[in-house]
Parts: sequence; structure tokens; C-alpha cells
Amino acid sequence: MSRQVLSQNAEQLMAVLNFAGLRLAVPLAEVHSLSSVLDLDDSQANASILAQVEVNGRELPAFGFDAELGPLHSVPDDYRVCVNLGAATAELGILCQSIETLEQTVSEEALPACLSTVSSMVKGLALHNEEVLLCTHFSALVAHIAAAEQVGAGALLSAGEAS
Amino acid sequence: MSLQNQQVVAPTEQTSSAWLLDISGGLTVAVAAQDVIYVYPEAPQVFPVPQSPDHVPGVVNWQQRLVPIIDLGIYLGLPQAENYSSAIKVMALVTLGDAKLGALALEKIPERAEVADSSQCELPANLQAWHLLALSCFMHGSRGAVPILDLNTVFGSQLSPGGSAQRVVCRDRGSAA
Repeated sequence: MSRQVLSQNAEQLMAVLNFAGLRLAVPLAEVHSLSSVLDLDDSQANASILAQVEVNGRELPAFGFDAELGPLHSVPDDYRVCVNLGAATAELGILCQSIETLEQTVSEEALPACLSTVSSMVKGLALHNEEVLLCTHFSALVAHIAAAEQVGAGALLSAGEAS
Repeated sequence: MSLQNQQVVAPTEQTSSAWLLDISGGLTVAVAAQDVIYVYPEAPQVFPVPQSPDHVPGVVNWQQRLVPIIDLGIYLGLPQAENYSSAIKVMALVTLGDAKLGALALEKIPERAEVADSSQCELPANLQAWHLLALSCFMHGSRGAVPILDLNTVFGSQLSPGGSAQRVVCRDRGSAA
């Protein structure tokens, strides 16, 4: 059955990644740490992975996205923060211009059926101070990266297996 | 807002009220009068959602609810006017049942029409997609055959890439080419 209107999910605390004019919200529980882009290692960057970030002794792949949520192939000058995300432990980094944690819980609504595409990382929307937040989560990010860049997925999986 | 009544039937025949909606690309579709709950005389702020289908320009904030917008003309692959601007001019907010809402991007302010059963006609043959998108069709005095939209299909997943309606539209576009 179609779900044209946004059905409401549970409220949760969110962190918002700002980049390229977008506000991408992720569950705060999935944000493990932050790194500076100055600490990234881009010596092994490839078509899908912008750089690697060291978190607790592990090298994790770091990714960045443009205004259409397409993968970036170089780090823009104004992307200064690497947000290390994971379900249980940090598994990947997402680069952004800035990050903020919202003080109040956000009521995320599932994406309407007509807006959904299989590989989209955006799984929900939320209104916050009259702004629309694009909501995603770690597993959706992994699926999106895997669909967009097979090479990146391989690298991501390799990083996961090595941990 | 000026709304004109279009009488298309004999005065004695029982009719149902509908809205005529001009979508981009020059086609007219219709919905039941009670399905339209608001017409934006000027397009409100549209919040784009990246990675959504091309025919979904984004969402609009309607009384703290985020409502998806559909541009059917783009979905159907209709040729747009040379001076066509991607900016939405007019928008109609429609109810889909179960307190669900959707918004349709339009070229003009909708017009009212009275529709009788006797004006029912075949769906236009030029687009196979009408068979999925429209519940039925009626003959309008000046606009010709006007499909009556199935709003739950229009705002459902069938129009998403890979959906059943999307495959039909791809065939339509292939035929048109």
C-alpha cells in the first residue's frame, strides 16, 4: 500500500551534518567521534574513498557527498569535519562542513513512497525550526555507498573485516 | 482567485463536481472536487529532496506537515514549452484519504467543471500510462478527453523508478521518440 504521507517514526536525538547546503540528520547514537580533516590520510584515496581516518587504531574509509548526495572525489576546502559513524563501533567517516547536535528530539517521518528510490540514503524527513532535515542512518549510508561505488563498498567491507 | 464553472452537460442531468488541473506540458487532468483542499495561488517554498525521482521536485511544509509534490508533466515526459521554467507556478493540495496529503504542480489556477456519467469516454490512446494513472475519463466541451486521476497511484510507489507505472511511461516515451 502506498504511503504518500509521511508516517511518523519514534522521536530520537539527532546530529545534523551540514554540507553543500544540505542538512543531513543521523541518530546521535551512531556518532562515535569527530576528526579534523587535517588528520585524514588521503595517500590511498581512490575513486570512491576520499581518505582514511584513524579511529582507535583502526583505519576507516571516509566519504564525502555533494549537494545531490553524489560521491565526492576530492575534499572541498570548506569540508573540515569528519564524523565517524557506526552502529556499535565507528565504521566509516563522513566529511562535512560542520556538525551540530539538536538539543531536542526530532520526530522523523518516513519518506513518502513517491519520493523513495532504492539506493537513496535519505530514509526520512523531519521539520526542525521550519527547516527540512534529510534523515539517514548508518546502515542506509552503507547501502548507499555500496550501490553507488562498488570499489568503495569493497573498501568499506575490507575495512570492516579488518577490524 | 477566479474560479470558473464549466458546464459540460445538459442542465437536467445529475452531475459531480471536479477540478480541471492543467499540468506542465499542456495536458488537462481532473480530480474530484472534494479531493482538492487548497490551491496555492503562488508557489510556496519547495524543499528539494536529493536522490528523489525527477518528477518529484520536493516537499512543501503544509501546517507543519511535509507533503510531497508531483509534477505529472515531467513524469509523463511531456514536451515542455520553450520558456518552461522549472519553478512551480501554482500548486494544488490534494487529500489522498487516511489524512494523507499530496501536492500537484500546475500551470494555472484550477477550474471547476460539472461532470455527468454520460460524458464518460475512453482514455486518450496517446499515453499508455493513463491506464495506470487514471480511474476514468470524461469528454470536456473545450478540452477534449480529460483523465480523472487515481491520486493514490500518482502519489504511490508505482511511479518511482522501477515501479509498474514507470515502466509504462518508459514505453510511452519510446513510442513518442
